[in-house]
Amino acid sequence: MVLNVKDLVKRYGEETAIDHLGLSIDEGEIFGLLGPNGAGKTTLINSVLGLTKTESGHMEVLGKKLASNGNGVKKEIGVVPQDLAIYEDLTAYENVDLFASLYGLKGQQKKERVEEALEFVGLADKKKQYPKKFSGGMKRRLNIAMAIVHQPKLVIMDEPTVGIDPQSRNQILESVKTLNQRGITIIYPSHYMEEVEAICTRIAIMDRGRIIARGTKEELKQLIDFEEKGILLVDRPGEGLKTALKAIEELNDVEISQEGVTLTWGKGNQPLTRIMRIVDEQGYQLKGLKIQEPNLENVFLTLTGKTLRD
Amino acid sequence: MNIFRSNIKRILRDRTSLLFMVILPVFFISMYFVATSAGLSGLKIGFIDRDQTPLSTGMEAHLASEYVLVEVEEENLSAALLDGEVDYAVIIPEGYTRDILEGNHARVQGYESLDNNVYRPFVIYLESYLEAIQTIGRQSGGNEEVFYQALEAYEEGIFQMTSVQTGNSTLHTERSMGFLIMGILFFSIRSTSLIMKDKKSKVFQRILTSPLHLKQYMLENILCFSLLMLIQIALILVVVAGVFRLPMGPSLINLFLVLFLFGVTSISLGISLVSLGKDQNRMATITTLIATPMLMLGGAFWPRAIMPELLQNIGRFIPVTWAMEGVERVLQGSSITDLWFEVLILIAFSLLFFLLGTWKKEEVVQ
Ligand SMILES: Nc1ncnc2c1ncn2[C@@H]1O[C@H](COP(=O)(O)OP(=O)(O)OP(=O)(O)O)[C@@H](O)[C@H]1O
Ligand SMILES: [Mg+2]
Repeated sequence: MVLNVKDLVKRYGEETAIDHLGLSIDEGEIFGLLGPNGAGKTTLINSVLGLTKTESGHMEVLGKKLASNGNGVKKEIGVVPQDLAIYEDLTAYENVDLFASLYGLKGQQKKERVEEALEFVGLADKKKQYPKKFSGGMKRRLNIAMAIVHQPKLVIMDEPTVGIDPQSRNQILESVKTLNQRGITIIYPSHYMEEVEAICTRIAIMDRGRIIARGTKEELKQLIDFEEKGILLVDRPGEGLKTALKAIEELNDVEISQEGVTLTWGKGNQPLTRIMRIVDEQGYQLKGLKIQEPNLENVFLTLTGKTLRD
Repeated sequence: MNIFRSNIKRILRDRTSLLFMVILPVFFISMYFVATSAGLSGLKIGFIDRDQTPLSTGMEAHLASEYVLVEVEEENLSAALLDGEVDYAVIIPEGYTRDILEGNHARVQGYESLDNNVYRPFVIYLESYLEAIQTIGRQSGGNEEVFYQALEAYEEGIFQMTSVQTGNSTLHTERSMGFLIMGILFFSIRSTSLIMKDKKSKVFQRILTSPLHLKQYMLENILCFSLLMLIQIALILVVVAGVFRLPMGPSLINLFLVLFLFGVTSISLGISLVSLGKDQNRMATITTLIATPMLMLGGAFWPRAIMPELLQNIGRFIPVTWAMEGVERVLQGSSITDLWFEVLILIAFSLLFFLLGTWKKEEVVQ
């Protein structure tokens, strides 16, 4: 097991950031930790890395307690912090080189690994430049290079794609997959459902300091298998329509959204004809009904009653 | 030594911080020394010579080369002092030269205007000059020729004599040393702001996820700042003692060692403050709040002896006190081995502050 956390509690004053959390992650995964802002993802990572003190709990990384067996294990971990952590006054090369040294690399081997890491994130041609002049995406990539230069077994990437352009994001996502193919386990906290869905082999959904569900994408989607969602496409739906639709007892939920009206019904219980009749009665022109595939967003919404992004 | 090396690189690259952390402190402290001693020459000195010998006329010329000598008649002396036409008057009594040559204790009379203390540095200067004359007189064993030759040699290289001078000769320097100690304290603490920068850019937190220990990280930082401090103190001493030829006691090396040791202590203090302060502003406030009373109690602003006993006793627990003590004793000719107690205490303070600053922090992320 790469990570094993049991009954972890972390409080900030009155607020419980991690609430009796348990989580285990196996080798070889790209493990997504999906949760909205403030769910406690970063706090969990910081606790595991010993950067913050915890109230109680048991934590093992790569089969060892970090507290007592710190350094041997630390060499095997690469951390990509959520907040950029780079020296603005050292060049890209020097940044990576320094961290290579801190992880014990030396001489020719260090040089090769540094070049390799920079190559890997696509910054080889910018290695002599200072990050001050880098774009957000380039800084993020440098942030990653510094964490993987020592070829760790486990890489923790805390929201590595925040605030960057789609192209850099795709590049980063691809590189995460490549790293994983090389046998590196990746822990990937994120609040981007699309990213987690695209690259993660296993996912835990986190909310208010707890893991509320975990499994593969498919397993998670089955959690909401009892429900289906559809969007009724009509122009400017009003409260009258909503009230009328709510009268249909098969519909579990009716919400007016930007596109139209979002409807939720029990699986196999689609009251299509009655919906169409009500739309007609209320004087709306029905433009279509989009049945939504279940996605992690829906899973999250169903499990917590909240959306991932506010 | 990776952190050490990359820090040096960063400091050398950052021209503004190089200017503020290395060059300007050297400049200001040197200029302070020079300015305070230059200020002495603005004094108006009355010189009344009742002895009228080659020695006394030579003394007049000597003082005239450093100070403004004002013509004053003996009868008008008190009026001139009261009016501020004269800040300080020296009267060479009859028989002064004879007493000097015979090796007797020779005295001059000094008059000062009461409500005015600008002449203090001058008095110190004068005392050391007179003491030198007395010493030369005693050593020439009544031989007038030898005496005048030795005096001439002394006038030419006045500061080479400082080693045989004792007591008050470097008193003025001691007061200026308070300023130097202050400079070292502030700039040492300031140099640790590089760690603050690491904390702000989150590299600090990142480094702590690597196998590098917090203690090692801090130690390498201390080494880096100490190297800077070493260069700064050396430059200051070169400027004030070498270029401006101000009296710095018999051993510049010993003075350097004491000051440098205090620099290291101050850097350690800075390290322990960095672990308290969350950002640069807070750090600046904490620095002022801690450093100012330290300097006051430690005798950097005024002699410790003028403070009530309670405050003097509190002062014993402050490194500044021991640095000032060490500096004063070095200026008076003590060797560094005589100072083992002061040295030991400063080393103990450095260790204490270092341990305080690197006490295992459980909360690395704010
Ligand atoms: N230093 C701190 N002091 C007080 N509260 C904190 C601190 N750090 C985090 N918290 C609180 O702990 C909770 C979890 O925060 P955390 O940063 O772990 O969330 P996250 O899931 O990483 O969110 P994001 O997606 O925004 O990164 C939040 O409610 C936050 O307000
Ligand atoms: Mg976070």
